[in-house]
Amino acid sequence: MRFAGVSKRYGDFVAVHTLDIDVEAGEFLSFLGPSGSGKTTTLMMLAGFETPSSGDIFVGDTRITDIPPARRNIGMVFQSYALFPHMTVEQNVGFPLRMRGMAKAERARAVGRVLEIVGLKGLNHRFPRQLSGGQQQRVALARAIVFEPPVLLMDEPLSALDKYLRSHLQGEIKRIQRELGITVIYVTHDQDEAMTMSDRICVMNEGRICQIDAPETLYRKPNDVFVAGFLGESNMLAAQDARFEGGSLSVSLAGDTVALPVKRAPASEIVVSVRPEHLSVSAAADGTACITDVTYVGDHRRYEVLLADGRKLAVKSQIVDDSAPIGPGEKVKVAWPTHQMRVFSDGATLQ
Amino acid sequence: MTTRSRHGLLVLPLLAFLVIAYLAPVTLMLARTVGESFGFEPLRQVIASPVAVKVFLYTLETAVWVTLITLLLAYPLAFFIATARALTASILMAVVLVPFWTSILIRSYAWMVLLGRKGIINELLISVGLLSQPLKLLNTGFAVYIGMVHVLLPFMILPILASLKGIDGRLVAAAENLGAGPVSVFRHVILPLSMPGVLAGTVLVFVLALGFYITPALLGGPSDMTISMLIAQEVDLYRWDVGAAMAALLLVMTLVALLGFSRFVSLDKILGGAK
Repeated sequence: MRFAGVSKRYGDFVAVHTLDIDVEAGEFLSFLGPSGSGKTTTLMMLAGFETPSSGDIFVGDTRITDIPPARRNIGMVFQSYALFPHMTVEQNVGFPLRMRGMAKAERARAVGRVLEIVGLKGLNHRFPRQLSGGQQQRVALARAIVFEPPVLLMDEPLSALDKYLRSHLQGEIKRIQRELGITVIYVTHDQDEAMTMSDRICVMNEGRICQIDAPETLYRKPNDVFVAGFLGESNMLAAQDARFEGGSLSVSLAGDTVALPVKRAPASEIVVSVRPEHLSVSAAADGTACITDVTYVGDHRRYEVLLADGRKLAVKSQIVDDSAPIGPGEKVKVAWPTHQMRVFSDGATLQ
Repeated sequence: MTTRSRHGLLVLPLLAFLVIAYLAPVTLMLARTVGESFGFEPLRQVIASPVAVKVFLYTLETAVWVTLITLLLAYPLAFFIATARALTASILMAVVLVPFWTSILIRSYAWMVLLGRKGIINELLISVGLLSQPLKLLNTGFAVYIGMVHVLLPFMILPILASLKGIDGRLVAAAENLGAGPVSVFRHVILPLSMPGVLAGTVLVFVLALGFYITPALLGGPSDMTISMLIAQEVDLYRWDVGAAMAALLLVMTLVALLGFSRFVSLDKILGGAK
């Protein structure tokens, strides 16, 4: 599946800027972003409910940009499930097959098979309102895969479910995806969901792709300042007195001079992101930073550190022995993990 | 006295009104049909009268046809209003509602003006040269149907429109995504989900059509006599017992019709209950 220069404008408002995405067959790709980031619009263009203002969408080698939704042969699970209330489970799941003119007996077999895959065997004659939220979700999934589409779209399919059911169904969806080898395009605003399920995540913000990468790459090496701040927890610090020399950038962070490996010279102000778990602090009488708060969280302690320039820093400190915590008010030194820090200028990485 | 039972006192005025203005007259009316010494003499008289039987059948037939015509006209319009843009929809709603708020009497007179021998339609057709002699439009069954359908249309449009508007647009999107073309979407999703509105409108229109009086009286000819007109005639002739028996029969007919519909209307729960 491929997006080639796809954009969507509503009058003067650009909902989606030029998108170029290649999705491999059998891949699980998530669109992750805050609301209004254009991820749902992108999905709707794929399903055919929105027409791109420019660019083309391909499934395999077929250009589907102008094909109406009914003939795209793309499965979709709606956020609200959109089950037909006047049809039984069997009729709901059989609907796409009926629309494709499949004979009744064959249809019943296919429906039976797919209901077994999603774990709803024996509920054929129930109506949607007689099912729990999780069961309705499974019916919606069964209905979207029963006609064996090459691509399955899912629009925040689990957002209406409670936490336990959500993580259970995440596993189920992954299992079914692997079993069927189907390409899944998944829209979510829940980063844990995107991280645990996806082969790759496409982080979107304000109608643009910030970065498409495997979850681990996104977390460890964000290329974009938005990704660094959006995914997981990061301390974002403005750096002063930047000097670029021979592939290294020397900056001042709250009085400490730090040398960071970079590939190019900065264009403007520099922002450095660093994960709380990569930072460490040690008590020092001549330290310029000061602990303001300590929280015990079982496997780690969480420090809040006040830097010399008045900014705050979150630090996660693994508890490996019986060492006593550093108390509030104590002076500390911050150890900067230069190889795990990301440097951004104009929103893009310098690394 | 508990709070709840004191709140019960609030229904007393309405209860009193219903007993005095409704229950008592209906009971008295039904009592008259019993006749002297419980012989049901008035009722027998009605059933034995060929005229009365003919009028009953005519009324029933008219009600069925008017309901069908109204349904066939109302559904497409309701569908159009439900899918139209806001401005078009509100203009069309005004077109539907303004006559609805106008008295039936005025509307029936308006049709007399339009359909009369020297009415607007005949005059227009003659001046254009399509006709040499005026057509007899007024005082025909045709005029009765036109008048009744016109009066009853809003009662069909409004419930159908309400149920069409209640249909979740995402269901339509889902059906399209699953491979349904426009005709299939309508047949398998929109039509079944709008059935509660269709049934409600059908019941309303049919029951109202059974008791129509003014419109057929003003627009119909001598053979277009409905039950209500016949009852009025009997009352005018001071044959109150026979009139009461006819009214009782009309009431029974209406209740039977409602009972018949209620078998379908229970579908309402299946169709409307789920999200």
